[in-house]
Amino acid sequence: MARAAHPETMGPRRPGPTRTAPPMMPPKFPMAGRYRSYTLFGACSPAFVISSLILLRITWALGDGEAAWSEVLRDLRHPLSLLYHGVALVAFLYTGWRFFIKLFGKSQPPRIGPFRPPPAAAFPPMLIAAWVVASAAVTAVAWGLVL
Amino acid sequence: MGSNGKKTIVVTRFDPDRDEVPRTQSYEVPVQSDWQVLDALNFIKDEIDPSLSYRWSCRMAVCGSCGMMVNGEAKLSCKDPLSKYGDTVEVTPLANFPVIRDLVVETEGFLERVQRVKPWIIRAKEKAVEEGPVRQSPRELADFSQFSMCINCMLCYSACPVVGNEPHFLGPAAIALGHRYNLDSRDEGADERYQIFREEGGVYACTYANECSEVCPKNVDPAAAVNQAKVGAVLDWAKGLILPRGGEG
Repeated sequence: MARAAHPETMGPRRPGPTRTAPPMMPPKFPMAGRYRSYTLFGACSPAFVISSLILLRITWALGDGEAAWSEVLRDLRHPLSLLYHGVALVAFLYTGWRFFIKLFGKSQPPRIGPFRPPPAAAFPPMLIAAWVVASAAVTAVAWGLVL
Repeated sequence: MGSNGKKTIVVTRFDPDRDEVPRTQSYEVPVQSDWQVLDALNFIKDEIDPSLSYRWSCRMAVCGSCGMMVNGEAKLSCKDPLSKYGDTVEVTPLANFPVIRDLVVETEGFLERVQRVKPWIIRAKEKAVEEGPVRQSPRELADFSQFSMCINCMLCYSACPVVGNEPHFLGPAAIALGHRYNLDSRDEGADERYQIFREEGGVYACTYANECSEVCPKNVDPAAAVNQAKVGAVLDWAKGLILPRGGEG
């Protein structure tokens, strides 16, 4: 059974002479059919907020002395933290797949000034390649191989 | 074209003079194997219950009149084969629209939205007839031709979760239409439309569910248009900040 939509949805600015039945949301929204993927996409957003706060705390600790930095490292090794980062990784991968691989290419306008973007089909391999290179670079830095 | 047995068509009924809220009514219909959902509704109207109200016209997915929800999906009923459904098929009015009667929805709100995006060619100064036509290359035509295929069937509005929650949202078809004119090399009114796109309920209300493109029977891909329009609206805004006189003249 569909739930009611906003009562003013798609109504005219001035109501017509006939009484109308209120608009209903699409029956499959939010958890059935293709809406599930969209709802899941939205549900990943808390991972971005929490991870941003963690990143802020790490950055803060960097300028707060060795004791603060050691405390952050200890917190990051906590089993709950590891569990969260596992979940966050899945959320980031899913968000990245849905937005960048599925939707990003066709969102490019046919022209930006005098330039034309690459065809939509070229975006997934380009973005995956960029992601692999960026991940390898970050891993190399974190591992102490460079810098 | 043989008979395919019987199907139960469950139709939403609403008579504003009698019903407080919509109700459902079931009809047993002897269907043919090549029937579309619209054929079953026409059978009900002709043979069982002449009071059933719904819109249809061309029967060839061109006029955009016969949009409705079939088993929960927004469909053109003239282009939706009955054979792909089971023994029971549920037909309800388009979601996200007020219902006038049975399967007939209120379209005035949609038409108001379409007019808001100024869906016509705007020129700063019209050329005199003696100067000849405004020419357009096939490549320039290709930039927008996909977005000009819309038949205003409103299926995209019916599938969009933002339309149902945000009453001021311009919606997929109207934005795609405005974007189509922004991409037209003959048009000079993009600044005016981007202004409208940036208002409350404009392009930034879209959260990219992509359902509008999934249900579009003409492969217009309104989600692409809306998200391209987001980029265009930002670039237009930035141009206004950087260039003298906001980039005008």
